[in-house]
Amino acid sequence: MTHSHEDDAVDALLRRQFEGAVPDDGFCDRVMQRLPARPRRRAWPLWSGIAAGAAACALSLSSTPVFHLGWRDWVGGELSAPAIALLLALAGMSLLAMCWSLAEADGS
Amino acid sequence: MADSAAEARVDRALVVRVLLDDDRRAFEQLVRRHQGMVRAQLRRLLHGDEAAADDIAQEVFLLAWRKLDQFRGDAAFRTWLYRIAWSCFLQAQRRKSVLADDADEVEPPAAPAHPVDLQLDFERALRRLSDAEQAVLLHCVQLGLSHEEAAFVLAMPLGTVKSHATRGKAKLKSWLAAWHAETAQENPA
Repeated sequence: MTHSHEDDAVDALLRRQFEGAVPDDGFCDRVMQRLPARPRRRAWPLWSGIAAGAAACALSLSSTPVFHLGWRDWVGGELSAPAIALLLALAGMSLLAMCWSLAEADGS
Repeated sequence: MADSAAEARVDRALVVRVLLDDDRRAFEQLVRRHQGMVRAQLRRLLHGDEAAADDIAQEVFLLAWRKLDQFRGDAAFRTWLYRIAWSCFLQAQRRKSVLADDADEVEPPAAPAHPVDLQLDFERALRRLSDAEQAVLLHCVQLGLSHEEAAFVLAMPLGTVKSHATRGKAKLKSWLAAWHAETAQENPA
């Protein structure tokens, strides 16, 4: 008996030993009867968190002179150091939000 | 291969319908498509205890319904179900506190009296393998999963799956060879 022939024999016996798929016999109906309502993902905790984070960020920035200077220069069209810092911070936050959105979209 | 890819696409489409539209009919189709093999897997794992296997199978599909948003599509849907079934089976075993026999210490089974007994004796021989070897052979040979898929289902490293498969088959082969030798001696041509 060759090695591969023995392998085939064992595989064949194993497959023969396996009865295969079990007929439904009402199993599916029993499962469907027991199925609870689908848990819904609530959106409000996410939006509350985003709003709270944005409020905390605005509150802490409102007391810093860099924010005021940057905002004033940006509105006035002057590309000063505080305006660039403000733009970079906004760009960084947008980038993070974009990465997060892409990761979520990829996972769903 | 093309068939299994098409099957996987249908499964994914049904999963999307359940997740987006809360479509119970789509889930019902998923249950109908996969209940047969999941129940067969559990019956083998439970050595033919049909009632216990069906109880666990129900638990598997209820869990799949609740956790469907965790199905990422990296593995085939049936493989994902087999994995849930395997973990439910392990939990049930832990609840029962059934201790596994150490198959390495068991003597090889006696040769079957007649060739017709081979099927029965092969079943007994199969049960003398370690739990891990039985599980690997069930998933790789009987359920037709690849080694990688079996590793995912059983949460085992790929190398461990391969070595369990090789060792399990080698044991069965040696027992088969012994049977052949004994029957040849008993019935010389």
